[in-house]
Amino acid sequence: MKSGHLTILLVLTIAVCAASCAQEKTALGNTAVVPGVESTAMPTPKRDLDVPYVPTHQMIVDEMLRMAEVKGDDVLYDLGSGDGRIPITAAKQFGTRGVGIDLNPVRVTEANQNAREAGVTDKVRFVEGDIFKSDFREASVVTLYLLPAINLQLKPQLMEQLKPGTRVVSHNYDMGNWQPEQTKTITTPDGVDHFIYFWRIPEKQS
Amino acid sequence: MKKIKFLFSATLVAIYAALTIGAQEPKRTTFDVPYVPTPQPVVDGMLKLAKVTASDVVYDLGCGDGRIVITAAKDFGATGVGVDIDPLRIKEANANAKKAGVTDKVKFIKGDIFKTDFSKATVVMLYLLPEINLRLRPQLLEQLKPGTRIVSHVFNMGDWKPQETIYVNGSSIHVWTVPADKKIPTGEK
Repeated sequence: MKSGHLTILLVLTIAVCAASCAQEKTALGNTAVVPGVESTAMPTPKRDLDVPYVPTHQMIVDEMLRMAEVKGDDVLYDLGSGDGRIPITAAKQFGTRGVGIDLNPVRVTEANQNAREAGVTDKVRFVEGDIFKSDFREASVVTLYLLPAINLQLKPQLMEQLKPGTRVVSHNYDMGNWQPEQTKTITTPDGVDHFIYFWRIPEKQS
Repeated sequence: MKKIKFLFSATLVAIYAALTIGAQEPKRTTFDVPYVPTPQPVVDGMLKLAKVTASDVVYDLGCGDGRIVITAAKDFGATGVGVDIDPLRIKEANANAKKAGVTDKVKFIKGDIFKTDFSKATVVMLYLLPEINLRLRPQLLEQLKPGTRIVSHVFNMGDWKPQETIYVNGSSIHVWTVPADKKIPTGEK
């Protein structure tokens, strides 16, 4: 009698477990494989990425450089540089020296390839690294397209490392209570509005 | 020996009870789409790909615990509406909105997405199923204004090719923009 009970309980327990597992599988089964992307042979980032990679429209790149008044004697740091389009555009258009930092080695390889194709390898450099552990003190311009929360996380580091007067431009995301000196709205041909924010690092308060 | 046997069966009873109670709660078998929460990095990816800013109205069709709309409000300053057919999810989403302090910016509605008016959206978020996306497609094109962005986690829209696809932690996120003539672009098949 007792062992009969036990058997029923065991069978039921197993059945419930199996049912919930199966349900999860059908729901997740569709998400598991994405063909043709990030194949296993590719190098992978040293830690999980904080920021999804969304390339910046060229119209926005041009406007970011214009707002920051980027010139030939500037040193531009792009934090989260993706395929390198911002430093590469600045180097091509103004001869600006640039450094791009990205956590994803795949992006760094891509950016170096793009720099070669653009013939600006003497001007730009792309390095695999964590922006939160990077030294970008030599920058006179910093460009960003991260996430709202990551901008806020980065703000103290920008304030600490950058010289007063250094220009900071960010695509779409602001810096919380740090009021921008200038904000611009750009509408891309697909009808989507983009915001660009511009700040200057203030004099240090001692 | 008897004591051990008793303890063993008591444990099993407890496990069984916990599992059955747990399994009963969602009652999801009657819905079109299983509830699978979207990981936070993917949520951020969807919002970034959609170019969500403070001027957007984000609708999440099948909003689950509300995390997309809540993140849109909390981090990106947007306003948002989540629709879900499961009242349990709506309750959860409202509780989460309260916790995040964004109840003035978001709203969650229990309802069938196929009977919902989402024409006020400037961004629509989806994590449904391929056939549900296809079934929803005419309604999206009919209701949404040109320039509205539609973002789908994993699943596509048949022969309406996405404008851009990104990958976050190995899963794909697609974006479409409602065209000016509100017709699916041809010649892209």
